[in-house]
Amino acid sequence: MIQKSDDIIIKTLARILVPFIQIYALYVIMHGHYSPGGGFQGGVILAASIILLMITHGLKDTQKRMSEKTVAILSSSGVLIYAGIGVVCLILAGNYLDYSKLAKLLHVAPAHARSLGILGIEIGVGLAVMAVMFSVFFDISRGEVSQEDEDE
Amino acid sequence: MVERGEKELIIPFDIILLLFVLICAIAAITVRDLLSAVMILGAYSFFMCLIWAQMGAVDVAFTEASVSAGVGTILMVAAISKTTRRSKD
Amino acid sequence: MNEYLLSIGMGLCVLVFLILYRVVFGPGVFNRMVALSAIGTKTLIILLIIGFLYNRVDMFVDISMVYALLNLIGTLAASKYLETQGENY
Repeated sequence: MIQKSDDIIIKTLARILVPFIQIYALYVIMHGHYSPGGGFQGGVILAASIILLMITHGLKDTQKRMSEKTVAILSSSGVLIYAGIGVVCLILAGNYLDYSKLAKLLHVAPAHARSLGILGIEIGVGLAVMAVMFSVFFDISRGEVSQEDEDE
Repeated sequence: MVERGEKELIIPFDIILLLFVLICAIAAITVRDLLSAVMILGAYSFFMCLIWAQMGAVDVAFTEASVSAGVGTILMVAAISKTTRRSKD
Repeated sequence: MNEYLLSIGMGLCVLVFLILYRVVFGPGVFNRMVALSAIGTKTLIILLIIGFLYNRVDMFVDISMVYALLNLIGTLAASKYLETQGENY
């Protein structure tokens, strides 16, 4: 199913659409506190943009941009951001994930520090979800022998 | 308290959408072709998103639309491409 | 204003019911794929009408945009599968 498409319409369409889908996913992550959305939904939309790239351009070109090593690093760093913010709050003499203690570190009011703490956690969740969803699709569709591998 | 519009069910929409969900679910089970069943499940998932939205649960509707109707359908199509397209019964 | 929007919503639901016939009974998979894409465009408007009835339309515009994008990707994935694996059932 993942072969390089010869159709120029679909390839141009994918190339135009993918940056806009990614900006929209970033909007959904950042405005999670005010409009529907949040970390998880934004991560899924980011994964959908890279899956669009993979369907239209084939496996090899996508692997140049998003290799397996990058995916592993992204998913681990997403979890690291989430747990790391919790542990930083623990070090600063508060409970786990008690964001008001971050006010000492960032020099803002405690209410503002809570808002920034939740934003940081949403970014971590979004990165982890994107990496795992893309990796699942990649592993499912990789077992087939694509036509370009047969020619080489 | 923030003044909002009324947050209760819109009853005509609720009845009609539940009927659509029932039709889609019965059709998805009885169709023999697996690729068509996956597409009918995509439509089923989007009607479920509409039901969540008109109950007032907007975050749940967003998650259902993005996960189940979007990426979930694509993953199932990729899974069908590894096995046969004809169901065994 | 509310009765006007509700009646438009009912009219669109009747249209979706007519397209649903092709999703369930369409012989072959191409009929079902095109009908699914057509259902997606109608139910986007139903979602926005629900948003108007709740007086908070700015929340529901986000969900509509997400489904408009993911509808395209789903149709592309299914047609890519049919191109490479043949349409023999």
